Amino acid sequence: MELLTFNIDDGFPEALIRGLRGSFIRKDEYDAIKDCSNLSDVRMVLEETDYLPFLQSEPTPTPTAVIRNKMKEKLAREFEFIKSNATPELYNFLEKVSHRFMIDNVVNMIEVIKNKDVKRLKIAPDPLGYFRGMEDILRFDGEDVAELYQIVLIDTPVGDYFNRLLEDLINAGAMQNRSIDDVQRQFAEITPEILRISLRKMWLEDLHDLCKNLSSTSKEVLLDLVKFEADCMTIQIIYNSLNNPDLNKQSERESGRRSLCPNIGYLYPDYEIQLNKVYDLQTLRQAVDSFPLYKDMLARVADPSNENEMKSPDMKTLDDIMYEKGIVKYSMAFDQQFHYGAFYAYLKLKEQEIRNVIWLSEMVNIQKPKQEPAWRKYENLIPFYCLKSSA
Amino acid sequence: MSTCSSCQNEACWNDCTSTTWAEILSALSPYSWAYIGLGLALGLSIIGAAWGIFLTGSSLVGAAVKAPRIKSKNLISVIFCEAVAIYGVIIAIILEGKISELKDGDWSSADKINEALYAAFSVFGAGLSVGFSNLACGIAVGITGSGCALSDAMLPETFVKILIIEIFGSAIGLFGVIVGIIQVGNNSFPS
Repeated sequence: MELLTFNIDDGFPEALIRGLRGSFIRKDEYDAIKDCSNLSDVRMVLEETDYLPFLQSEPTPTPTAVIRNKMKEKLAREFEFIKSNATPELYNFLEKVSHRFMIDNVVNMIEVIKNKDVKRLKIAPDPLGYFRGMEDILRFDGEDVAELYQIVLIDTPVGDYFNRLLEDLINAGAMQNRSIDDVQRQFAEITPEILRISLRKMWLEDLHDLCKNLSSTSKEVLLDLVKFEADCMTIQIIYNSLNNPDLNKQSERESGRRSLCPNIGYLYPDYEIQLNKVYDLQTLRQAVDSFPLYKDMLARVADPSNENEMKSPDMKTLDDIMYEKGIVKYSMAFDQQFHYGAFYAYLKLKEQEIRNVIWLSEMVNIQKPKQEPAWRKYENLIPFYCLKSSA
Repeated sequence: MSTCSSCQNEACWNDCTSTTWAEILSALSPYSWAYIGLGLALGLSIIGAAWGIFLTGSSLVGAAVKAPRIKSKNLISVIFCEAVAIYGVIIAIILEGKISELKDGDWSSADKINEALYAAFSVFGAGLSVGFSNLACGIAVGITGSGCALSDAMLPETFVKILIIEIFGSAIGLFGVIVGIIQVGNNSFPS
């Protein structure tokens, strides 16, 4: 029935997104960037794409950081435009999607405060994750980081996630008979990576719950994308911990490693036991054997216990392979009409485009010789073009 | 006008307890059958046209933000939906011409009542067929028109192909109008 009723509320935003679909950088433009000899040539190529209004007012020597910020700013403006034209259901969905970027921004700021690392202040926060009161976090002057969580972060849109993280730690501490101060100290000492992964896991589960309440086509498309992302996160966490003996111990797997993996996804309830038993790449490959997509992902990846393979430039990293598989899925999300999948897929594909352009710009900047295989990395990562090349 | 099924006597109509659907339906005045049919013809056609217009219009407006060239061509989809409303108006005017008031003397003649009922039912039937087929037609053209606007914004050569689908969709509304006119035919209330 969405055929009849979708356009009442969401016809205009969906048509906007589909119009924006035409603004992706095409393969021939990527090839033109590849053939550039310096950054001002790259900028000239980019000015012929849809990025012209954002780049033309910049002073001429444009380092890659500036290009990256401008591209992100364009994406943030477009997203803001769509959000401002959205009705409540779509707005809630888009707001939830942008919480991920807010989490990243807040974790970066916490790192800055904790380490009093003034250099990192220069890294611009992600404009997609902008929320009012963001600058106030940096002005926090206290020594107690737990106070930071309870006073400042509570008011932010992502304060809820920090609250739940603290509650989870308190509950886990209560089971192990630890005091509240102990737990708070543990909270304050949590590394930014673990913090980021735990918050992202909570965000993904929230997004999953929100998608379950949407209309049937949106639910079908979005749950597939969210579950894929959750599975990628799980596989990534396990793969990254394979070389780390602390996390790989039998005793640590259930509590440490498992607690970082999201409780959703195609792998979730059925393969949990098998995944807990994984201790090297072979067992990981066996655990995901029944999913052709993940089996293919892990088949071409380097073995973390084999140092030569990890350092070889011919082997692709797990990140790149996951991006390749993801691009196909997100491009296909545009195929049906009258659902919210296009909004999420657009964000992901634009992020991939920014990564591609910055990768190529960096390669141009450091003037790597053109025969290197790293130049061709982008060819499997072009949004929408990947669908044409597959048979 | 109607008789009780148990005693076949008009006098006990008000006290009759064994009413069947046939009695209720045949107790409705022919005027109500006719005018309800007319209202359905017009109303449902307009609902179909309006539904189609908002379905295709919202997508058209959104897609035209990034691809302004599609605005004039894609108004054809809106015109196809509008045509559905015009069919409804035409049929309504035709049906209105079939209805006229029975004179006082006609109520006692079974022939005249029969003729009136026959005409009334045909007007009602024509109204239903035109109304529902135009409703479906309007919605079909609207959904197709929405897809047409979006794909035209991406690839201009798809416009003509999708327009053919819309033409087929528009034809089903026309089927309804043709059958409606045949249904009403030369039947009219006795004058």
